[in-house]
Amino acid sequence: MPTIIFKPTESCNSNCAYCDVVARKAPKTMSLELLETTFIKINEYLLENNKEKLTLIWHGGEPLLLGIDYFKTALRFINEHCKETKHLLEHAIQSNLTLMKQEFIDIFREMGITHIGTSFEPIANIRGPGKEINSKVYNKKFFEGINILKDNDFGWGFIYVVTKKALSRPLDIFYFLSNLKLSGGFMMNPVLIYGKDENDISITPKEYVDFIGEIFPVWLKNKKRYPDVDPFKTIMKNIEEEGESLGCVDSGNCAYGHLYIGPSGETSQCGRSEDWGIINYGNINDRSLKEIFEDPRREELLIRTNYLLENDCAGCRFWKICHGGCPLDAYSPEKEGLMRKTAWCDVRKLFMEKYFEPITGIKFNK
Amino acid sequence: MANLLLTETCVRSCPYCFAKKHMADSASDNILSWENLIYVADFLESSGDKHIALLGGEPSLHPNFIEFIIYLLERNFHVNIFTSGIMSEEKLMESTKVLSGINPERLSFVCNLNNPKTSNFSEVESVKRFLKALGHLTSPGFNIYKPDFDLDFIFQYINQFGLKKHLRLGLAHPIPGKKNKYVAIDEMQKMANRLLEFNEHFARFHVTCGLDCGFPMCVFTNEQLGSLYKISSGHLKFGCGPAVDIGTDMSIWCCFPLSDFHKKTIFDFDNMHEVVQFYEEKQRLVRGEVSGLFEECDNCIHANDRLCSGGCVAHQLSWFKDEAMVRMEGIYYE
Amino acid sequence: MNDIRLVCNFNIDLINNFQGKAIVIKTNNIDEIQHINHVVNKENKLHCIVVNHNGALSTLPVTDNWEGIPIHIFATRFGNFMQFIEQKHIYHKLSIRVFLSAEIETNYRDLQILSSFGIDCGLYFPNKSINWEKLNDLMYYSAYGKVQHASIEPFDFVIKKFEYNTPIDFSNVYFENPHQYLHISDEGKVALSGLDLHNCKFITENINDLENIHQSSEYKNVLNNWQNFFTKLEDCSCCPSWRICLGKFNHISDKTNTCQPFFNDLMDAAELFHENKSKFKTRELCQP
Repeated sequence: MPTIIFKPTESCNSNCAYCDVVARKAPKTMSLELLETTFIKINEYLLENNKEKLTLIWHGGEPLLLGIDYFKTALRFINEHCKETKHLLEHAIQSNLTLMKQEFIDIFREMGITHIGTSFEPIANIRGPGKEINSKVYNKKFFEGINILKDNDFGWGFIYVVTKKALSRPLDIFYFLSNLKLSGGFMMNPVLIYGKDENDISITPKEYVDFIGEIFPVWLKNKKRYPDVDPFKTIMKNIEEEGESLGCVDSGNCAYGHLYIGPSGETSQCGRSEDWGIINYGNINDRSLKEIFEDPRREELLIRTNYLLENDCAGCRFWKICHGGCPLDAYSPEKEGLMRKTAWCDVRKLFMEKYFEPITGIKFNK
Repeated sequence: MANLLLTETCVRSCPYCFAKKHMADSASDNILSWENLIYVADFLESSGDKHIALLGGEPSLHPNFIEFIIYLLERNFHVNIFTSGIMSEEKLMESTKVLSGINPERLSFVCNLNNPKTSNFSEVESVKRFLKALGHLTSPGFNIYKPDFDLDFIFQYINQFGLKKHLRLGLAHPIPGKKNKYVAIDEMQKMANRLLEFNEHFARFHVTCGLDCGFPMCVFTNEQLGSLYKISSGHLKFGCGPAVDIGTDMSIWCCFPLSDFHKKTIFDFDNMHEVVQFYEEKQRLVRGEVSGLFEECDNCIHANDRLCSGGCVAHQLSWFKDEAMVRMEGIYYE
Repeated sequence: MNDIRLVCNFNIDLINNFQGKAIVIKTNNIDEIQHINHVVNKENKLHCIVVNHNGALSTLPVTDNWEGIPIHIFATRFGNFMQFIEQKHIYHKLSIRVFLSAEIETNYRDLQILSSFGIDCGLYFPNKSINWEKLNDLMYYSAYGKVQHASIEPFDFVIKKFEYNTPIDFSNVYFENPHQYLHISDEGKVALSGLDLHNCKFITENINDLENIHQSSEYKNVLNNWQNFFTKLEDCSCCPSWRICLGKFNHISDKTNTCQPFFNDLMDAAELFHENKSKFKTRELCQP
């Protein structure tokens, strides 16, 4: 099922220490005209490919900044232009929840959304609005949002970004996040700093590995208490299912499955490729979705997988669960472009060899 | 059934005492806690065992002596108390008030009696007070530690205080590593002859007798065995197996003479069956080295058919103690 | 709000305001017990009578006239064993649970005695003085006792109610969880806990608001109070056993040597019970 990372706005009400989107760009918001065009193009694509389903992930910036009327209009466009195909269009949304209101919930429910992805940070002054990154205000609003979701039986999951400030307290952080949501559903990702590390929060791949490595045995011993914690759950699941459930980063087959649509209608392979200005597929105004999904440059991503298997990754014991990692992470304009394994490969390897294999006793073979 | 120590202090200092080693190794102020009592009660109950023996030292020295008995009775245990009978008047009065009306089928005492001729006056008087008050719940007990013993006073006490007409006869055994008085092997036959001299008393006073563990069968003649069979109402045993004693600190051991032999804690086991199995196996190892008190034990058919275990295993262990650490190593240490 | 139970004194005028409610009555007068049962059950349902007995349990003259009446006795201590034994047979006939104060050290072992006799019991925490080691021993007895014995609260509640994805508030045991119990003053004012009632901190002063109390923002805020722990990375929110404690001992400064190891052990016990429960499902037999 192809996934569209749909970013109708780059504006955000938070000034998270690890996010430079707001600083880097003059935030843009998609016009209603372009929004309408987008749904017309989606409809055209689905009419032609009526065996497929599309997932549209509403992303930002902070999508709730678009306002209730914007979503109402979007819903109207969907009902008008996607009459015959809207059952093939699934919506998801990523929000920091701080602007959540009941009216949003009502619209989301009509769009078929019952679960929201978000992020949370217990360490002060990493997530929050304003120059001072006011986490107190942020957290208060966040919990108000959570309560609205709870009142409406909406599910939620969240991402935790591991920064330098978290490194000394991995288990505290883990227990905190688990307690925050007992049913699980969170992922611990390393912070990625694209430019200058102004807030002194960047970490090395080894630091990230040691952070999750300290948590891993606790999680493994109590998997039922902490049911849905990533990256652990996905790694275990991939072993059990032999790589069937890999995400885009590790699957080695993201080539035809992803698309980014930005506020000006610009398209790219995914959110990361757009951030870094590579693998762009033109503007939605100028091309059909079919053309974009069949763009010949996508083939390069598939070729990369085969290339790595015979080069960088030849003989790697962890190929089945990694496939050289995210091509965008690997990209280097000076060197071989995409034809390299990701720099985070060593992270994966280190975690598997230093923590996963000795702790679980599961040994990967070539 | 297990023996549970309420205290590790005694009011007497009997020359044959087989608890000597254990008492010497324990702090005199050790007493059983409520929590440990409840643990042992649960342990026994979960093993399907509702019998418990309370002993010491002197169990009545425990400040909760009466409460503990009532507690166990309320939990439907059959309680048997091993006592010297020596207790303060106040304790005796309180015990009499609370315990004297209890069904003898559920609560009984074994009063370990020493010959009054060799005991001091106040001790004897104290024992008599006890027997007068609680004699109807009490069986007399006597430990033989020399071949020329006397049982006359026991028959007299039975009649005078209305004791239960059953004498529990123990045989003092050596304690490996400690000096106590006991019947030497070459005096055992003499001891047997002396015992049978009281044959008529048993019959005349309708008193039965039960032999505690460690009597070897072959020290009695066939004729004596016949008499013993009658005065023991047919319940004649010449065994030596784990009695299982539990200390106030929840340590556990095979029996007092072997209190230093593979001492464990109750928490090492899940139930009494495991405890008994453990100590039977340890005793079996000793008997693998030396079958019994006599050379003949090695080929004795009664050992094979388990009629006799060849006397108390403490004798064998005492011999090993004096040998080079060859056999002891394998037997004492795992 | 029919699922909310009300906690109040025995005040007939007040009780006449309610209909079809489950009511917990607090009293210090044991002579009223049968009367309370009779009066409350006319238009409502007596959930429990809470007797505060400011003395030793052994001095409380229980009677088999209380048979069938749900009663919680809060006594300061156990008292004289032999005196208690004289009444023990009556306890076995009653629907009674005995609570002893966690302040008195001997109560921890006395609860073992009560439980081993088959008398349901529990600890209550009148202040913050707790012997954590003894509490842990008692919990072990409650959870891992070798033979069947009566329940000891709040351990039994936590162990039996444990679910992986749901927090457990053991205040329920003391009728103090505002999700399930509201405290009503004699004047009909509504408080969220016994302490709030004592401090005259009411969420409404009008008994008629009771039906819509779940819509009141103050009520909602209290139910979400747990979230206050999660605005900072502090010890209760980082505790592996948060889900069964919910920060009740937040005031303790040295948590790593007190409440945390205790609740970790309790959670292990709860998890084990939960696992075994799902392993050995009760067989259902056809009933004639």
